Amino acid sequence: MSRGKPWCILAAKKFPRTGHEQRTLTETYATCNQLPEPLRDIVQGLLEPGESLRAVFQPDLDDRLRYCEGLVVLTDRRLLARETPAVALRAWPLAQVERVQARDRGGLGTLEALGPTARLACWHHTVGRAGAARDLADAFDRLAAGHAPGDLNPDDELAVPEGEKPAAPANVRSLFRLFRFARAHTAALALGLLLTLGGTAAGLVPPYLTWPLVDKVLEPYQDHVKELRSTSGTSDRQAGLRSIERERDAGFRRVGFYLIAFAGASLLAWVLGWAQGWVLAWVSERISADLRNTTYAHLQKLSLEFFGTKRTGDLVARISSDTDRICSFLSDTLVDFVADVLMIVGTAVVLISIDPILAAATLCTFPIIAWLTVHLRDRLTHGFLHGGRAWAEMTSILADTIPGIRVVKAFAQEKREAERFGASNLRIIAANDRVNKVWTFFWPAVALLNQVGLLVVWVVGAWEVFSGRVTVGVLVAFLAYIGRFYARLESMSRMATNTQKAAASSQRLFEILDRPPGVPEPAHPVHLGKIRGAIEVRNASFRFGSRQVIDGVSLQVKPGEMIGLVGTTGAGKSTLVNLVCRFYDVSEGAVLVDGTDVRSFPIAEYRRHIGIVLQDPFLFWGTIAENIAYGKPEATRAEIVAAARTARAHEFILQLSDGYDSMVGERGHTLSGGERQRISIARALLIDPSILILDEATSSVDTQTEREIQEALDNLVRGRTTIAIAHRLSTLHHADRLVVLEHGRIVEVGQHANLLAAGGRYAQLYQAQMQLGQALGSPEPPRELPPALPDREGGDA
Amino acid sequence: MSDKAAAAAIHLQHDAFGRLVVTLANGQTHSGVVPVRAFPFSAPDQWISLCDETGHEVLCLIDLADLSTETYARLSAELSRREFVPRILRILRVVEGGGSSQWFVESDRGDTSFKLTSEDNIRRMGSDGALLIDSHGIRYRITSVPQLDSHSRKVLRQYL
Repeated sequence: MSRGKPWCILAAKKFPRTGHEQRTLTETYATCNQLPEPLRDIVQGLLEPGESLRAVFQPDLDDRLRYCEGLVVLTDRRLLARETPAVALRAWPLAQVERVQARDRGGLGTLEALGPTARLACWHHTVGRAGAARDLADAFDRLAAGHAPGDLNPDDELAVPEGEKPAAPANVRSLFRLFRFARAHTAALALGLLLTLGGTAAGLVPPYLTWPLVDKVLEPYQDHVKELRSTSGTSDRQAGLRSIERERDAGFRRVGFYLIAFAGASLLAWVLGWAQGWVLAWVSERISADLRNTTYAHLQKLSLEFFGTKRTGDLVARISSDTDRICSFLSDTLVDFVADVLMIVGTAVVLISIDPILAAATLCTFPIIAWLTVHLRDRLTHGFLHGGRAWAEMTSILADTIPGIRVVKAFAQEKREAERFGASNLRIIAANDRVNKVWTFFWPAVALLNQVGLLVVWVVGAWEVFSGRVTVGVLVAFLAYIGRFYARLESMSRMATNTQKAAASSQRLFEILDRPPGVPEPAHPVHLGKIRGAIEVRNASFRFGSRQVIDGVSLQVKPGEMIGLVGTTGAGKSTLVNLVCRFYDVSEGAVLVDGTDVRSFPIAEYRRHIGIVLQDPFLFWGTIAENIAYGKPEATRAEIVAAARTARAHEFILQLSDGYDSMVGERGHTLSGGERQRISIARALLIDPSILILDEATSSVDTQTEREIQEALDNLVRGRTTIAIAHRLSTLHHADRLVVLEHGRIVEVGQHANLLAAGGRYAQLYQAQMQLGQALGSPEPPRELPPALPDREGGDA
Repeated sequence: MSDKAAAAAIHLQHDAFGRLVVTLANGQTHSGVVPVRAFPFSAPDQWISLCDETGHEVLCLIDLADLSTETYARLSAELSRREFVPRILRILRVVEGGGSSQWFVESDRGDTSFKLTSEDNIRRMGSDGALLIDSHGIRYRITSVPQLDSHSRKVLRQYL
């Protein structure tokens, strides 16, 4: 069992509704072992010999709704429970328990055990545990139904998809995971590192040369001159002057040699640095492109559920700015870091080899800086992560309001939107201020420490020169090195900032990458040729969080049949259709196409057989021809035109200034709703699907346009299995069968006339629509049905 | 009758009002037809639709090569008369300002200048062509960017 859900242990959860169930459930010991440590002993202590565990649920609120860990255990004989660890356990034989039901509302959940005449007990829990409470209620239902292995369908023996649980990666460790993307460019990276090494080595040469320059050339010459001046004899003077000249010429030559070597080494360091920078920038550009591609490709595979919970702007920020940060980290910071470490180590080695005492003086501030870095690191990461979130929030506002600009203007909310944007910018400022305070303190502090180090070196060096331990040349060389050393140290401390930034970014990226696709690809895919389009929904249930959206729906659709789904908002129509399309997988039961579970088809291959026309047709940025050919990019012009003709779109397309080459925007601004809808119908027609889904295809347009679309739809529907959802019942007249859904259950099935005659739910809906239509004085029935039961929350899942 | 044969049999002429009259293979005539390129950029010489005055398609010519020479000449003349899409031969200069840009170009219809309101109004066409749409909706084509002179290419590179 996962660590994140310790309160829910459903016995044999691994094999729900399969033939394995019975076997696993009898193995009490094994299921007990799945419980976390303290709970396992408690539960095991409760069971009588031979009693088998069915489900364990831990309510987390007591009867006064205060937090408290309770325990409810369901076995094959009894229901055991206690509200708090302090009170004694109560037990009811199953014969006394009529029903166990779980409900939740507004964050509070209740699990009730009902007897034949009264409520036996009730336990409260927070909504996070609602799923577990339902599991227990379900386990009770199965127990009450006396499930036998024979009831179970062998077709159901499919791997049930794992839920999407993002693993939280450790912070800086997520940076190491980037190496997965670096692997493809090992050669270039090695070359870059080699160049870095060469550049570093070349960079160490010039200061080293100052030592012999001072001690072997300048000092001896100066001494010599002084010596000569002190000897005042005129006879020696001529010889002395000549020797000085000789000495000077030789000195100059040596100075020349050292300076040329100096310049040469500097030049070499520059060339190598350039090459290294270029190579590594090249690699990092590719790595970050890989990273973007991988993230985006993975994003495409995630379920609709994921997109439902994430804001567009946040995802955009993750793929654009976070990868950019990682790119700059890889190209600049990482390389600098390697160069810095090499330089520091190299310098330290050289310094120690020249003079250990001075070296020790130089390095004395190093531990303080290291300590400071470690100390501030966590605060920095935290701050940058916070800043990243604030940034994502701001881009989310952009991504919200720019597509919704018409609503903003219609309600004259420009000012408020600007204020909202301003407020989120304030949050960015606040988040960044906090982190800026830390790093702006940090860098000058490092600079100060370096000055202190320099002071110490001067003090120690002067003392050593006076005591004759080192020459002036050594001290000069030291000071030349120290400049570089401290510059490196400072840039390394800057690196701490950038590393934390990149770590925060890669953490945000891996949050996406670690998420498994919502609907998993089958392990043993069954390939489909041409499908006939027989759909069977077999006892399907679907739960959205704790809400049961589809509850045991069974429906058989013959090839070529048209089914109209009818029901109030929230009845589960869209969800049922999404299950058929496999945007979601059923929680229980199965959806079969031509007798095979849809979960065993490769997803892309399966969807190629499904055409979908949605309420709000989405046109991508591109030409009309591209939009029609979206599902079949290799389509010929003849196919595109044929599809457009059938969809009654050809002639209006010809009237556009660029015909099929006209550009349509993100939301197809230049086209009317009906035109866009007909393009999306052409899109569905082009892939020649065996199964067709019409999700409120005509509800966003006026009656005249609807008529045109209806013609196009009639062409589309012909010979295909169709499931159509419509609020306007009149549009479903020619459906072969109407299926009335309510609260995720099928309440009626039949033809329009029969259902109307039967006077059931459908007749009610139809009457209500007609009456409302008349009351409003409109010749057509209203689009929306009045919600039959106001206590349902939210829209269609 | 195949599309090809139908196309070869059609006949185009102008009537006394200067309207285009098409006579189909089956002898039917429609006057006042307008030739429309369905794919003006991606396939300018294919998929020419003849629409009547109300916008209904009378005939769709998939390939102009199927037409008789005479009809082809008439149709081409009619199409070029109906289309104003100057081809840019040289970009003289571009003046940026206030989110829009003023373009001074040499085109096959003479020197002109126009205003682009957004960078989105420059788009690639095919592998190396480009299309510019000015603030009035007039289209300017560049058939091949690589064949332009170096100055024009340099200017375009900032936008494409």
